[in-house]
Amino acid sequence: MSGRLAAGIVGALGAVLFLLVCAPDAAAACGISYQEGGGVPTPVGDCANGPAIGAAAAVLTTTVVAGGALAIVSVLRTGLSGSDLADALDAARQVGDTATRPPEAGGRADGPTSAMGRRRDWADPGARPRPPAREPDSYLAAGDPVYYRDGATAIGYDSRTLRVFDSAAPRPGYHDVVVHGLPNGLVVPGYVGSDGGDHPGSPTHPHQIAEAVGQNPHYRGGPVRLLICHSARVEPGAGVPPVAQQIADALGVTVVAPTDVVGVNRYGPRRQVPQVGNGGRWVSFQPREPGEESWPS
Amino acid sequence: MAELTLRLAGMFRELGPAGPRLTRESIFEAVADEELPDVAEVVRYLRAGHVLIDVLDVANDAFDPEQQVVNGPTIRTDGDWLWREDLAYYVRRHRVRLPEDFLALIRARNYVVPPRDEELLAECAAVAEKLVF
Repeated sequence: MSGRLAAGIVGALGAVLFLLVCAPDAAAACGISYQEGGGVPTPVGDCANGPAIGAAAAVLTTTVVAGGALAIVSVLRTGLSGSDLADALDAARQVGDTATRPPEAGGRADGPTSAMGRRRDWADPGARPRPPAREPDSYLAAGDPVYYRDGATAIGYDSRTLRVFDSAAPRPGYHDVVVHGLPNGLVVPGYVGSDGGDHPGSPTHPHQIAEAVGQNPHYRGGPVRLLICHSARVEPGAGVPPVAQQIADALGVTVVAPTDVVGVNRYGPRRQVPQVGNGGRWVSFQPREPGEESWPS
Repeated sequence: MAELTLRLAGMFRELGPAGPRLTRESIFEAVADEELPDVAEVVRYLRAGHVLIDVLDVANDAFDPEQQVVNGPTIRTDGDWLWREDLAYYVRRHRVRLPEDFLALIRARNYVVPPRDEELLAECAAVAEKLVF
């Protein structure tokens, strides 16, 4: 096999490896979309707050495809043997298969099963998004449904998100924001899968949440209470402030947020009053001045 | 009124808030060799339990951190047992065992969660609240 062919294939496979390592997160940062009747989730390209990440994913995908193409062109130009040509086409086909595989393909793939019943290539067969039964009032740029009412904004449409959005007892003077959060500084709108169960969507930047709150026609400014789990803390090394601080900075208002999971008791004496789980607490965040880099702990 | 007796299922020590104070059982020691023959029906029962505590959460799958599970600490009941929302996921995905008494009850009920009045659910919720908050 010629050096140019080998270089082309190595380049293509290198790009594939890079894509497998980096692109899933990059694509995930750009949200999901769904198809009527339950389609396979697909990355959305116009990620408003992550254009660089989305662009990087697109560039990487292009690189992978181009790498395969270069390998074929190299073969055609150097006039290799039939076996070399077959090798090159097989390599290019494998590159194409990898590059076009959706990141969250539905269906349970056949693969090795560990003693714990774990399949490394397992994909939840019920995770294909079902369109929201309840008509959203708006959408994030990443495609996630947004719901508005007087006193609250919700992002995502899994059952717990909408239940808390509808029933949480208000804190006087505060506007509630309901969405799933992670202690890495991102939020994760939930959705209903084809199995009727709740599923996590793709991570979204807190700035998109702040933008959705600002667009709620009922919101006239003022303090915000985040019903977003873990939003008052962030893991060491995350490189970003907690979700609550990011939203306080973006909206320029006071934000109170839970350090752990948050929930409501449907029947107890403190009925529907949001409480922080696991011994957690509420923390208040103030918008920071430019250049200020600390936040409450 | 008879004293309420509730039993717990799926509250493994690795799963966080709803569990470590009452049980020390590890989820990794509760994996069955074979999938339940009626796993779909059992999972449907678990998902049909009456919700007592709605909890928002996203957590990594205890066996596979590449997978995430939402709302796991949400607590459901059938009036006799309390269990976490994510128990259905772990039974289906990782063959996690249910207590034998619970599985027998589910089958005896032909996989249908009985209706419960609000008074009983309020009593159950008082127990569940101590598990979560």
